[in-house]
Amino acid sequence: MIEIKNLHKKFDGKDVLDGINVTIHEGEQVAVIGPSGSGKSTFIRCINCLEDPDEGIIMFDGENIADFSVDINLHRQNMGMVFQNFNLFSNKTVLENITLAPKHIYGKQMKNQGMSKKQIAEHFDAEAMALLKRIGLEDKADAYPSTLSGGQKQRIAIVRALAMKPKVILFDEPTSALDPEMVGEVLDLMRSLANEKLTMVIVTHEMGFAREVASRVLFMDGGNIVEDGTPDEVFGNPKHPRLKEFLSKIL
Amino acid sequence: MKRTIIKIIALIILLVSVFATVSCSKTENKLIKAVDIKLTNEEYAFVCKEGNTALVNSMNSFMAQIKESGEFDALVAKYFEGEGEKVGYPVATTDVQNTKDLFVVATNCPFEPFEYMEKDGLIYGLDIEIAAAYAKANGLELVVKNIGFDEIFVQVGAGYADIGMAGITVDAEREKTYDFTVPYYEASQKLIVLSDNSDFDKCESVSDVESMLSSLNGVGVGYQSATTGSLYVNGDELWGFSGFDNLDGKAYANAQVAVSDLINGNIYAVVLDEAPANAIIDATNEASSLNLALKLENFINTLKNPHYSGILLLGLLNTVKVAVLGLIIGIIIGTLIAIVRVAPKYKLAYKILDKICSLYTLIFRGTPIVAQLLIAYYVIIPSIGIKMDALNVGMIVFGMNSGAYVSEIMRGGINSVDKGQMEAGRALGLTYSTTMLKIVVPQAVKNILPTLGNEFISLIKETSVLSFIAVYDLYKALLDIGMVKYDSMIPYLMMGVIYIVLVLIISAGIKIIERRFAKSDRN
Ligand SMILES: Nc1ncnc2c1ncn2[C@@H]1O[C@H](COP(=O)(O)OP(=O)(O)O)[C@@H](O)[C@H]1O
Ligand SMILES: [Mg+2]
Repeated sequence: MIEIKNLHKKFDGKDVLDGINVTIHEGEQVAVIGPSGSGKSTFIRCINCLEDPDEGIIMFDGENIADFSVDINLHRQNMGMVFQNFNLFSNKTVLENITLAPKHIYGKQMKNQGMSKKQIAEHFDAEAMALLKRIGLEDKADAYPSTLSGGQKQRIAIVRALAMKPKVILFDEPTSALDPEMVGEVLDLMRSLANEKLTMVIVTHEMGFAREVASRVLFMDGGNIVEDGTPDEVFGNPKHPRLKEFLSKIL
Repeated sequence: MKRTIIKIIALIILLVSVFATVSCSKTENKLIKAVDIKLTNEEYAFVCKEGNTALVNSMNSFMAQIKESGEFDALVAKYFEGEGEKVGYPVATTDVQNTKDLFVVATNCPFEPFEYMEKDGLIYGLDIEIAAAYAKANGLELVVKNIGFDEIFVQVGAGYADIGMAGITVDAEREKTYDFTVPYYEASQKLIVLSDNSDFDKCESVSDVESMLSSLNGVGVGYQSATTGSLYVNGDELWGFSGFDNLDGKAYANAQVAVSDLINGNIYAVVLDEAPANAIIDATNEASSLNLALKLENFINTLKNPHYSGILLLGLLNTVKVAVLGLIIGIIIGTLIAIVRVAPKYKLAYKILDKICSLYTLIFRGTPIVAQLLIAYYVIIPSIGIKMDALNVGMIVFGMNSGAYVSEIMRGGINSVDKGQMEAGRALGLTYSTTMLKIVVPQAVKNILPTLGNEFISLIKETSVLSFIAVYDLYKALLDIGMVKYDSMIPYLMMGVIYIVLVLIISAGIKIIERRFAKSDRN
């Protein structure tokens, strides 16, 4: 589904990603682990070109999206992203946060098919309400993000990504900014998405979650993927000395 | 609400104390007089655009004709001896597009008895009646524009007015760039001093006065800017004036403010054209005998005239209009510029656009708004040959100017919005500009609202330069009202009061908007 070849990214002349090769298949839940500063965030942000790769190919839907001439907006619609700091639109209500992009992007096509503005709005509002219901926050539809807890914000950020019906969702440490008591509710939601076989790439420090939920684990170190395997392989039988060292510190 | 009431009470207390100080401090009423010696020999004529020989010839033959018929002498007698009934004419308060059927005269009040406003709101004077007679004889409609003395020349040069009729002295320097008609009046400058000044009592000739002036040291002498008086004080080769290095020359916008400064003891004397000097001396001596209550009554009486209440209302409306529309245009332009300036510059088009925008900002922030206004109205508009109302020109220039300032404010505002907001929008597949306009800019606006409010307040105050392109704004309206009886104290105070009230209203409005915007911050 996503085929990455020889991905390079430099910051200030320093190689942060040093020629990454990896293929992510449909229906996989890939956990990306590794020490801080190893390039995990840069890697996941390069996948949807929030950071522009300096070199390399990212094949998605049959196109190399690392190429500047490709309409990246089109591909991002199929590639959701969840951030560490939630990044909910603070000037929009919860409902508007979820419906803004679908209305704006898919609404145009529907309008061309003859639907009225009101019908389109009702359609997406209903979809958003269904998503809110799923996470039990339908009573927060008209609230502004600043009134919500971190866990609530992150769950809404996840359903905001879901509302675009993407083929894959990228998560960059979705629970790292949360108070411990709120981590569970976010992981529960992600777990239920995994059960539905949504393709996910998750940068995380939650080793228990990675082991239990991920179908595949990538260990990054120094801008490279140095180990790639099933959770049992990576956690149960680590081969690379850096991975052994990393796991011994964390577990 | 409570806060506003407290503010209003504070304002009232402040005003009462200002009025009290003003009325009490003037215990002795100073009077002024003219030193009865002609300092210069000069001639008045009408001024036309260079090369407009048709109008110069036509005016010359008309003048010859009315001199022949005795009509001219009758007019002179009317205005200098008080014989016969004077006829007043309305002045234009909105910008008039100069067409072939119109005879547009630019003049500058008060210059009694050549042109001056009466309490009835009409303009009177020798020049005005000549203009009216000329218009009538040629089947034209008369339009009189009462504007600043300096502006007369620019308006005539730009074709916004056909002719300048304002007791204009024929002067070699002016003849280089304008065409004059045959002179119609012999004039001279006179020295105005306080009545109790006896320095010139023994003077019998110009040289007596000049040696007396030369013996004074470091005293201030006022004159109306761009008039012969200024050349006389500072020296001028073409005129043969040697000037007075020992005197401290001070230029004033009009004779009236120069005389006020004389009375207030800030300068020693004023050099003025003889004929208007006499009128000003009479009116000023009369006004200085009035107490505050009478002055206030005078002011109210003046306002009872529909012309003056009309221009006050028009001025207020124009001031608010230019500031509000200027700000709206400014926000639109400023936002667009700010977006270009913060955008990532991958494409060449963006790089070029960025350079254009920074140049735009440099030009509009690097030059005073008066210069922009003058260039737009007197240089650009006439040279590209489009007709545009001065008020609209003002609105556009204020909008473009404010756009440059708002763009910098907005850029700061955009940078203050968390970068994650843009990333979240882009990650959903929204374009840069959609995310910018729907997510980032609204948050930026919220952050910069107080600064935008300040920009609006400075716009309101800066609109006073609109008078440079002959637009009636609040300042120009009250200036005119102040010239009716040569008593500008109350009108000037009112000017301050109205501006402050406007600013208070705006501040309150901003508070309300801020509260609206704050709803997404509720906790
Ligand atoms: N925008 C940036 N500018 C400069 N250096 C950066 C930037 N983003 C990341 N880096 C550097 O790249 C390296 C990898 O960072 P990151 O991808 O965030 O690592 P991780 O997510 O694994 O902790 C770090 O050394 C970091 O300082
Ligand atoms: Mg990271």
